[in-house]
Amino acid sequence: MQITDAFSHDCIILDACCIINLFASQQMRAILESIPRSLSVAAYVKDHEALKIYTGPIDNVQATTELIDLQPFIGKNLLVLADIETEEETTTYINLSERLDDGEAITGAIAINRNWAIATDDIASLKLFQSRTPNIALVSTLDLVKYWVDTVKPNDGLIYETLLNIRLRGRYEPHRNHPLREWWQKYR
Amino acid sequence: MDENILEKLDLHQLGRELQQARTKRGLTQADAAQILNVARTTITAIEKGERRIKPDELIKLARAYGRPVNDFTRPRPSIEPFQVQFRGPYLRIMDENEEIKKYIDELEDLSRDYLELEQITNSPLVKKYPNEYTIKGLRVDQAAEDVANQERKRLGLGDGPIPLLRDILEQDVGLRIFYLPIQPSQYSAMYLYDHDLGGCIGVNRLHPEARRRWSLAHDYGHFLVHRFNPTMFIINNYQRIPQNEQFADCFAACFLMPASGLTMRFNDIRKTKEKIVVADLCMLAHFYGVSVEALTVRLEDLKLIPTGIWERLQQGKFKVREAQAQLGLGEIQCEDSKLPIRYLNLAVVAFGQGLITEGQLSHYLRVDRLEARNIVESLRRHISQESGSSTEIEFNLTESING
Repeated sequence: MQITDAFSHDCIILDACCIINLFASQQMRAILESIPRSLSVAAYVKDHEALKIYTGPIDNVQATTELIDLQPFIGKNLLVLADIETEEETTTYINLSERLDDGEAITGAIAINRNWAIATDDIASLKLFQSRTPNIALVSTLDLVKYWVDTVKPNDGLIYETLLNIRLRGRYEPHRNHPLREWWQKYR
Repeated sequence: MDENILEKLDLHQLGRELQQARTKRGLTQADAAQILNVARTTITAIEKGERRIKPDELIKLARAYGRPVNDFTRPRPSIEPFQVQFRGPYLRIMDENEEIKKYIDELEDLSRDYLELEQITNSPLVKKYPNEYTIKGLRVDQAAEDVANQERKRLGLGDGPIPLLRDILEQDVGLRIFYLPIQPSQYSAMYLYDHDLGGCIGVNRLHPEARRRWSLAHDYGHFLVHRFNPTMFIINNYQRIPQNEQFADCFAACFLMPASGLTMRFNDIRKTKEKIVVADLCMLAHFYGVSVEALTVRLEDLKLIPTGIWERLQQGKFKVREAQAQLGLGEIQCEDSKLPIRYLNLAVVAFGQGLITEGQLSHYLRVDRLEARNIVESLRRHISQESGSSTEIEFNLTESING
């Protein structure tokens, strides 16, 4: 799926995996600012999931951790909090929770009922959304980062550092079939 | 997507799950009724499976019970709750039942999650359980020696030390063993049995390895002889030690330090020196992965040293740790992770195959998402290294090796 498909939706809702990866990049603000659509996160993900990243020095990143604070992004309207509001959303949440954890189920329920795109790196969620809701655009953290790279054109050093941060501070590696895996490997 | 899955869930099982979650949270039916703003009889009906719960009601109750909705809606193995009533010799700890219950609940939850992971990945646990041993009419020490010898033979252990006791009981017997931090420290281990889960043991992770191994062997003794009786192994809890506890303790000694092997090794030491000294006891204990006390008492029982040696050492304020440090005896080799390695592997395989989400993975591993990612990555690297590849390779844990 192309990132431009996601731009045909009014909003892109980010799941917990994506939030960790973007926050770990240390370029979250710049990346969110580059996306020409509203970006959202489920209130449940913000309030109920203790999301963390490693914050130690680059040669020993695991020395310290930091809880992810989304408030600065919400305060600047770069992220909008979303919650389950209607009966339909409630039912979809319950239905999705048969297969997904609550954060993913709520994220999916909001997206499905409001026709929003979903940014996720979770393989189980991707599989479920692809099979049940083919009309919903699905993008990954790397899609968002690559869009920032393509539009803002940061220098190679900053791109390398951003991807390294995602790998070390967020402990994320795209799976081997990820469409942007080759691009990711180029900066290793 | 519009169909409500609550319509197809088994009402009785859902009701039972809700009731268990409520009681574990320490809430009454009246409390639950207040949360939903309904009559208490409505909660009774929901928990009995006589009234279908509505989606918004389920969300409210799940939040109030501190549980994700996913716990109630995903297909999970149904097990009988561990309803443990310690009686007789355990009466002294009845006041502490609430404290114990917390750990029993944890062992139950972990064991159930283990079974669920096996179902998700279609990898059932191979249980190589012997028939329950009958020891009626035998003296406790004779019975323990006999059962320990038979088990060593059955498991192909010879008569040497058992360095990887936990691995053997998990992999070669099929027990579910968790290392839990249990307070207060006199609680050493708990043993529970369920028809679907099999034997489940929770060992106090806060204890030194020698004591954990003893607890594990002790509870294995219960599994072999008193399989269906739950037990809580508590140090120095009895005025008069009941027979089943005497057996389990004797069994631990015989299983960890078999008479033939220990006698041979002890005699080998005796042949080379005039006097057996305390350092010999420390080194032999370390070799067998037991405490100096357990080793000394075992040697006394086997009449290899005079009785009362351990008592004399205690009276002389013998400091075991200092002695071990002086002798340069390192830590006993151990696998002390909270979860069994196989459990970790199943969770990582399920995650890699997209059968569970990252949030579910972190729940199964009892860590946050970042630590869960770390475990997945470490396991992937570990496997890459074990495969002998000098370069980092992508290794799919679920890939067929049959081509």
